[in-house]
Amino acid sequence: MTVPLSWYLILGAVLFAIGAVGALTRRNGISIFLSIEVMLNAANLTLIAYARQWESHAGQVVVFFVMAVAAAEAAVGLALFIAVFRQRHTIDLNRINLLRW
Amino acid sequence: MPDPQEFLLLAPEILLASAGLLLLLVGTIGRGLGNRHSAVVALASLFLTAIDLYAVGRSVPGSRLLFHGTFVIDGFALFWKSLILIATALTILLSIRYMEEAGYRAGEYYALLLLASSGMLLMASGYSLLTIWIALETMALASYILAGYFKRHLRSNEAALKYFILGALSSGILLYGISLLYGAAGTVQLGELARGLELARAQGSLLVPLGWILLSAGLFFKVAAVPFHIWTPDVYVGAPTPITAYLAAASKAASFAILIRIFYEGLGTLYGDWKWILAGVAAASMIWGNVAALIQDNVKRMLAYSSIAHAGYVLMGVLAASEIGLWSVLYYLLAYTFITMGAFAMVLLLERREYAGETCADYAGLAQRSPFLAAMMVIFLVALTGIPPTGGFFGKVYLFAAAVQAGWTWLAAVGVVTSAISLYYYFRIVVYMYQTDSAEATPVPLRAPALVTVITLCAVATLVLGLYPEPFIQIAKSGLLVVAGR
Amino acid sequence: MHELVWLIPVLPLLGALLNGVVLKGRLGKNAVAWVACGLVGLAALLALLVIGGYLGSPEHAAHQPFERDYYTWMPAGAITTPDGVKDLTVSVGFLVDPLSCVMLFVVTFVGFLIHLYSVGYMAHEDGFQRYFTYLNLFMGAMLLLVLGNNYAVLFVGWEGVGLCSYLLIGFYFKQDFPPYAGRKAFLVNRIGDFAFVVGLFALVSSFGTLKFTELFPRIAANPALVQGSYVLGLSLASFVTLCLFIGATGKSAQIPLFVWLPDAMAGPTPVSALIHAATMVTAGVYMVARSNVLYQLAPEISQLVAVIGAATALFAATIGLAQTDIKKVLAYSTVSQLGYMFLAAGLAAYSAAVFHLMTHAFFKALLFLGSGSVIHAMGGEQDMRKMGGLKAALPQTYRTFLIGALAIAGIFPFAGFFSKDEILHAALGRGQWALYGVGLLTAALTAFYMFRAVYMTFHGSFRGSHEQEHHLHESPPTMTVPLWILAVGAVVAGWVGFPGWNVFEHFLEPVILRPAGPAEAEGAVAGHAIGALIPAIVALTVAALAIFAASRVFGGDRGLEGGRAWAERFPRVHRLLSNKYWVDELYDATVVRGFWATARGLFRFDASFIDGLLVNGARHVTVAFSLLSGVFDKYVVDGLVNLVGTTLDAGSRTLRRVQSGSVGNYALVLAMGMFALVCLYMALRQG
Repeated sequence: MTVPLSWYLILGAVLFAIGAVGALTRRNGISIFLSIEVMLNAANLTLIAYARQWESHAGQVVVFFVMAVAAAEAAVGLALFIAVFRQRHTIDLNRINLLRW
Repeated sequence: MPDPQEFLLLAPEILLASAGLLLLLVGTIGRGLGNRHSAVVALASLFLTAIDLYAVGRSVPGSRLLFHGTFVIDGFALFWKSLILIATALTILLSIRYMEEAGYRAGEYYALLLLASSGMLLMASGYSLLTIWIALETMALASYILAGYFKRHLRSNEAALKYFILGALSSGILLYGISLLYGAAGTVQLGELARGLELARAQGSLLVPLGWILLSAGLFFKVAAVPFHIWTPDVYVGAPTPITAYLAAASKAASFAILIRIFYEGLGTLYGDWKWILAGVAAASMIWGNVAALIQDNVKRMLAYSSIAHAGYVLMGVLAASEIGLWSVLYYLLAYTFITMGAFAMVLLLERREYAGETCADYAGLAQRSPFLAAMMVIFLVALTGIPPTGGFFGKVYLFAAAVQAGWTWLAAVGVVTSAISLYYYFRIVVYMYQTDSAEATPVPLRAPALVTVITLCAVATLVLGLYPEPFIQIAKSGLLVVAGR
Repeated sequence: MHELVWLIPVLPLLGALLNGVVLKGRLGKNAVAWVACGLVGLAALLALLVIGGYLGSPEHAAHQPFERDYYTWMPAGAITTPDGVKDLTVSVGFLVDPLSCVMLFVVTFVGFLIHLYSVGYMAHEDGFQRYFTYLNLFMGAMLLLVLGNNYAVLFVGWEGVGLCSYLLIGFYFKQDFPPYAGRKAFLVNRIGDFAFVVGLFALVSSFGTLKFTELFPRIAANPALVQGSYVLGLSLASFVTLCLFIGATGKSAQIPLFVWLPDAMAGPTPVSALIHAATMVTAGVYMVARSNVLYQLAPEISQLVAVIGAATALFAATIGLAQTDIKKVLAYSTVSQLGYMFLAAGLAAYSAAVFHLMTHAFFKALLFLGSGSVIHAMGGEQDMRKMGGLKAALPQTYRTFLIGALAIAGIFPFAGFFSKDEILHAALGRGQWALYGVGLLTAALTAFYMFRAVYMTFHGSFRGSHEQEHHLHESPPTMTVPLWILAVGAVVAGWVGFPGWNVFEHFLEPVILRPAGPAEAEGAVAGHAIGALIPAIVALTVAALAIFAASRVFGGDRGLEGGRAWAERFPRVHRLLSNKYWVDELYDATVVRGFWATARGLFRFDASFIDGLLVNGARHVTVAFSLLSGVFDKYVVDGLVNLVGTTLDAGSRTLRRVQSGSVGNYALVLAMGMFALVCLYMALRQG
């Protein structure tokens, strides 16, 4: 028995939604960032599922690149968090609002 | 295995990325290269890249797909690449004195600029959603760091953090859109995508609209169009000023390159669907950008809103989806690059001690202190408003004409009315410069020759574009694309 | 040689760039003068070579203009015209034909002399470099105007000279009046320019081009193109020519837009000579002559042009009778002479109009420069009542001024005689007796007031202060040499139009295109030599009589005293009339008693009825009305303006609130934006 395509897609969509809600509701920078990572992985899952359906490798290749980019993004992001934390001793994003209006 | 000759055609990008990596590497050895040396190396590598680009342009007469259709070299790509190289070179010239006074290591700064630019060059050439996305991320990751380069300044690293979080979020949205489009069409290559999407749309697939809406949201984010512009004012104000100029000119140009490429070639068959979205976004951008700019006192922030409004004007030309529409977009962004660079160079020249000197009041009495600078600033403001004899005027006229010709008269009307509104906040600075007395009477010291050169150069270019647009229109016409399926 | 025509406007513009931007504040007065005069001199030399080259070229032999497009200025794209979609491109190009040759010669030659003169005149003024920057800029713009091969370039020059005129009128910006006069000139001109632009739009929308060599031959070959279609109840030709003429009334100071020119005398005197007498103000005449095809196809507008021209000529001449400021006299005489030119143009005697333009440039520049020399010697005094007897102290100035006066009065063999005769003859030849009569009367008045000025300034005894008398001196050679050169021009310039041997008219023939269709009544003008003799003698006699009359009134030590005595006795009348219509000095000698009786009667009527009833009544009505309109302004107009302002301001403040600074909110905005896009798509998708 094989898992039907729609299950993967629904899982992907649910993950994307969870990620989006997390990104909207969290205040801690790291949590927001992790939520975004969840969104990226939702996309990955969808891509792989479709790659199997279309029997093309393009989707899988995309996923590899996404993983690489996500790693780079994590590196940059965490470095930024550290830089901000050193200056303000917090990464609560709602309290980082010097720039506004 | 791809043909080795294809690597040669991407040699400009490879060259620029290698130069960036080299600068990064040299920066780790001991104290690294000094500020001036790094800048010279960066400029030299840009120059070599430009020569290489010229050679590539000469060897590819029409258009050519590379690496199994994931990259393309055509007039469109060459136009944007040239524009990006010019913008980057101007940014480096703007940065020299600024970095000297800032007290941060300069090697990595120029390296990151080159890496971001190589990403932009790849964006201009990308012909598959995958390559475009990777190129976009290359640019974005370097820009995040550049925006926060002054890591001990609260405003700079706050700007970087906001830019990063929102950028990553939009990039996630964009990627999910790509995955849905891939699901609908079974390919990420733009040429095949257009056909696949047409087929899938005919079958009533729900993936198609969902996919392209998510994708376009990501693109709107990058070009700073309403309602995805929200990061722009904060990041523009917080980032080091040369980087703000870079984001406003180069990053915006590259993002428009992929936006046009994707909408015309990848989603061209869906024109009937996306034209309304584009129209709504364009109108919202023009209105929001210009109205919100009205009460801004900080010149950088005002220019940020103005850049949002300008994205709206350009989207109007994209929307026209006609020959005149497209070349007027290219012409406009060409003029806009010089105008923005010049305006931000003025901001830089007046800035003292990091962020002081950015408000309108700091321009009071500039005409008495430095009549030359005041005159230059007037040229840029006049061009931003779109008054002859400047490049901004012809750009706007052609954009409006294209919109009217394509039947978007109401949109052109919104453009004209909001342009009239923009006169108010642009000329407020003129009033400050010419009709208010200055607190200090000393002339603004012109101690940065590179900066003054950039200002003069940009002013001359702005005027030339307004007085003699013909050759530049021909250049813009060399970069035309056709909307797939029309 | 004529290939180099592009260089002619570039040279003075280069001078403006050098003096105004590149070398600003880094040159001594001598160097500034060398740069400015040298480049204009070069341009004048080059103009001569270009004219010579063109006259010797095969194009001229074939009655064709020489034309070059240098670059495409505005590729405006497709526009829809009645005969299909056209690709409208406006290019910057120059045209050399007989008409532009004449203008080129006048502008560069007179311009160069006035540059030279200015060196001496402005030697002790502040802003020497600024002055020459503007003057060079003016030369560049004026040359652009006369050389442009299409209306767009012409219009650029048109506006350019307007700008320079404004800058130079307000040159003494530290005083109160000059900046005001400059603004007035600028604003009045704007009214005309608006009509001008409307006319150009009408042309563009009907023909898709603004190029002279494309427009005129086409229209001349097929007059139905402009006579068959209608705009606002007028034929296209009438509409366009009316618009262009309104433009010309602004630039060339005709009724009703002439009011700025007298005030424009607030600028330095050489500027008045160059811009407000010899060149810029004649641009309107040039433009009408250039558009002659259109005017020939709009006979009713041509008639209007002639009538307005004649009316202006007479009106200004009567005002000129009463002025005491020497420059004001010359200003009104300029308005009057311009009216003369328009009279000729309206009578379709275009070559006569241009001929008078040319001779007028010489003698009026001469007169202005002469008055400048006088003012210079008097230490800035312009009031002729304080002059007198200057011919002893300023012999050179006196002789040249006299030549100019004889020329403008139309005395044989001076230049004005020939050109004025041409115009009167044209009126007569077309059976326009009324216009002829007005022209003749104006000629008499002109001779009278010019010699009034001559007598008041140079004859009799000195009436100024001792200090001024002590200071009197002849001007330096840089000023007198141009005077003499212009004086020679004021004598000989008319000879090219010798009746019966009219080289000038023949020369301009290729420019005057005769439209196809029924020929105009040209026959009457032929048979020149003999027919011209009688009107010429009449005009000459009238002018001579007028001069004689002036000598009786103002000659020797007479005249002034009588006029002043009457003025002191009736100060209110004096004040009333000196506003504009102060003609008592003329009437003083001619119809003295009758005049005073009438004047007294009129004055009583004025004081009791007009002042008492009408003016005061009107005052009450006006006050009431202005109160009302003030209320309207305050609550309705201002209210609307404020409403827009407040709405935008409130909008701006609301939008600012969105930018809360919190990333969480920003992400929410992004999500809501997505949602909005989806909603928009759902609402608007097709099918």
